This record gives sequence, C-alpha cells and structure tokens, in this order.
Amino acid sequence: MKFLYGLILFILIWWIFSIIIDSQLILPTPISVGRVFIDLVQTKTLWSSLLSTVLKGIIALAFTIILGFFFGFLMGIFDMLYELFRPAFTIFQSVPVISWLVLVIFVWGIGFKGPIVITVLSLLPNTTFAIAQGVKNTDKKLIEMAYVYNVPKKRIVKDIYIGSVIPFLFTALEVISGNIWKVIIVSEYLAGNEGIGVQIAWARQYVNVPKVYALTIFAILLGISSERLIKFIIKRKEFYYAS
Amino acid sequence: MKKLVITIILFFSILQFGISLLNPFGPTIFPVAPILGEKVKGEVGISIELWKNLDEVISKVSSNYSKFVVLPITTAANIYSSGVDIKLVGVHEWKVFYLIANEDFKDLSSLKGKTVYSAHGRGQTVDVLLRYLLVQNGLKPDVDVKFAYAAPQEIVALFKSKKINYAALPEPFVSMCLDSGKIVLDFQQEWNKISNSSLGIPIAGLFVVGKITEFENVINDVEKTFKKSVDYANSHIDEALEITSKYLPIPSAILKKSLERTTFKYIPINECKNEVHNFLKTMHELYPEGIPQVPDEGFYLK
Repeated sequence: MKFLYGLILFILIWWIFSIIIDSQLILPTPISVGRVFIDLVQTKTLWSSLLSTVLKGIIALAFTIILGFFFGFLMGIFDMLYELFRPAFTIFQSVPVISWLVLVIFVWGIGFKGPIVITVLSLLPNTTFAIAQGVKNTDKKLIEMAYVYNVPKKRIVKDIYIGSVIPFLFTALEVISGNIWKVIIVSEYLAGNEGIGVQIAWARQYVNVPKVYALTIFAILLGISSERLIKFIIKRKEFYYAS
Repeated sequence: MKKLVITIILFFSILQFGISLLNPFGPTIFPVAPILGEKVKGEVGISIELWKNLDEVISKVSSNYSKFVVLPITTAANIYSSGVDIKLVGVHEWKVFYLIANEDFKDLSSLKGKTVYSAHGRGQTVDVLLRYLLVQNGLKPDVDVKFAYAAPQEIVALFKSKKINYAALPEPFVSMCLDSGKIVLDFQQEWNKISNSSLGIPIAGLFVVGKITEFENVINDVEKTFKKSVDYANSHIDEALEITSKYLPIPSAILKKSLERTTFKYIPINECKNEVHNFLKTMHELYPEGIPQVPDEGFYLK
C-alpha cells in the first residue's frame, strides 16, 4: 500500500515537471507515455523483444554465477591465484564497455552473444570477489576440526565452505538483480539485434521520445520483479540454512 | 505599438549579438567552415555551435529561443511532428551514402545469404532504401539478406578486418574503408532512378526554429550567408578543409577523398520542395515506423 502511494507521488512529480518543461521531446507527460505503453503492449515486437532481453538476462546470470563460483572458490582458497587473477578482474570492473566494443563485436558479433558477454564481464568481477571473500572468511578452526574428526572432503565443501559463502553470494545476487537489466539493455543498445535495448535505440533514432520512456517502463518492471524474486528466494534459503 | 517596439529591439539585438546556428559535429562542418573561419560574413553575425549527438540538439531545439539549425531531413520531420515549430529553409547535402564490399559483387543478387551492416539502426535512410532495392530485385530482406546495425566507427573496424563483407555507410566512413574494399552501389543514383529526380537524396538542410519566422530579413540574410559559405567551401576546398580540421579530428586527407563522393549544394526550399516531400512520403510508405507522419505544408518555409 505504501508502495502505491510512493508510486503516485512519483508520477505526480513527473507530471508537474513535464508541465513545467512543456515539451514532448524532452519530458513527455505520464499520459502520453501511458498511451504509447498501452499501444506497445499490443504489439508482437514488444513481447519478442522482452523475451529476448529476459532470456539474455537469465543466461548472463547463470554464467555469472557459475564462473563467479569457479574463480571465487579458487581465489578464496589459494592466495597465489587470488593475486594472479585480481588485476584482470579489477580491469574488467573499471574498463568502460565502449573502449573494447569493437573487440566484443569482432569475436562474438552483433546479435545474441555480444550483449551476454558484455553483461557477464561487467557483473563477474563483483560476484567473484564476493565469493572469494566468503571463502576467505570461512572459519579455519571449523575446517581444522572437521579434518580432526575425519569428515569427508565433500561435506567440508558443502557444509562449511558453501555455508559461509552463501551470505556473500546473496549480497552479490542482490546487487546483480538491481543492475542486470540496466547492463543488458545498454549492451543490447550497443551490440544487439533485438531486445528492449535495441527498441530503445531505434525509438531514439526516430526521435520518438514517448516510446523511449514507455520502453523504459518495461525495464523498470523487469528490475523490480527480478529484485522481488531474488529477495523472496533469499528469504526462503536463509530460513533453510538457519534451521 | 508595444509589439512593434519589441520587434524592432529584438531585430537590432540580433544584428548586434548575432544568432546561433547549431551544426552537427562531423563532416557537415565543411560547408560551414567559411563562416567558422570568418571567410564569409553577412549583415547578421552567425555564431556556430557544434552539436555531437541528437539528444543535445533536441534539447536545444525544444527550448523556445529562436535559432537556426542544420539537421538530417528525416530527423527534423519527426521533430516537427512532435510539435516543435521548425521550418526547412533549404537543403544543402545531397550525396553521402554508399554500399561497400570487400568480396566479389556483381549486382544486388550477390547479397543473397549475406549480412549487410549499416549505421545506427532500423529505419535509417540507407536501411530503408536498401530493403526497397532488394525487394525490387526479388530478394527478401531479413530472409535472403540479413541486416545488422552498429555505430559506424565499429563497422569500419570490422570491415577492415574482413570480419564483415558488406556495409552501407555515409562518407567519410566509406573513404576510411576503401583501402580494403570498394564501392559497389551509389544510393543516390538508385534513389534518382526511383524518384525521377536528378538531385540525389535530400539528406540534411538548414532549418529555422521558433518565432524567428517573423523576421523575414534575418532569415534571408542567414540563408544568403549559408549559401555563400557552401559555395565558398566548394570553390576553396583546401582552405575550407584546413578550417574543418581544426574542429574535426578526422585526417584531412580522408576528408578530402570523401568530398569527391559527397555533394554539398545549397538549394532553397522553393526549388526542391517536391523532392523533399516526395522523399519523406516514400520513406514513410516504405517504413512508417521511421517516419510516422509526413509533415504538412508548415514544415516548409514559404
């Protein structure tokens, strides 16, 4: 309920600003954006674009977590590897995509793969560092004790390492879920051939500003729903691990 | 009476302080270089502001103060459709688009099974034209011939590395590619055949924005200066290039080569209105999403 009031307040502020600015080209009114939004919902292009974006998001998320776990664990357990990989990940974290866009397009082309690669590379460093941190933070005494009591290696990894990594992974996931659609859409804008980002690029090209804003609403909806979903999963998992 | 006084004061202040002309950052600096380098002057002082991206110029055009602006015709048509008081004074860019290839090309049927890269996105002038030409030649766009869009800089790099074989680009990007490929199609020629025109494609022109439409003499003067500048640049190529290179970081040699395939020629709107209208109408018919509305009479300066 409070969320709804907040939303109404936001739309009101938007409305007032659009009246002050008084230009459809700079800030269209909520009504004109709403109209375009309703028109868009009825087009097939919108749904296939949305599907393409969501699919890219899921694949990118899967890759990020798998690779993040792989590198994170290695870097968390072996200090040498941590120092070895750290510069590469730090570089990926801070290099702007446009600087190496040609390379990405050269290797993966314009289309489905390019945006996924860009997204994974921009989300991976944070995830990897979070997991590495989690592994490093594992209680060493607990592990020693497990060795003393001859606990099988499998169980050490599963119960002790994973157990201490999970909270860090959750934090990383929360950060990812807030960012992933932004990154996907920008990378579609730069190197995609379909998806919400491409639709936004084309709408901008035709100076169809209300359409740009209407498409943005879908990006926001994606962001909110994925964040909710991940929070929901985290809550249930935390409950599971606590019990 | 009060209105008259204000009008007179406004007129003189324009004479005094000059008026701004928003010009795209890029090769289109060349035709206004004589104004930038103060080789050409009119009664009214013109101060040129260079814009780098569409957002920038849209925000400037939307605010209500009066000014002149150089814009692509298609973009301006869409700006006009969304309620901005913008009028076309004249067209000055007629030729700039080419299809280039770095493998054997006989005619359009060679494109079967290939991917053509073009700048920016679906609905660009070359994109619409190429799709039309393919249909005319019995090929299905998106089925027989695939399309991909990227920034022109990226396309140049990919083309030179032979990663891509076909690109439909504007100059000077075409010239940047010619050491590793050749021109296989002149879009202007094709358009002339379609439209029975001889001028080429009305690509960009001079527009006037806002209430300034009331000051006929200011417009006449700016138009005269603008035309003189285009003529001067064409007849003093090296001089104009030297001024251009102060603003544009593209090597002069490439720019000079690209000028052989670029036509800047100022034609006032009353002499090319049919061409522009026909062009916008055709673009609208071929791809309504790109130009949702063909502008009415109000788009053209009387």
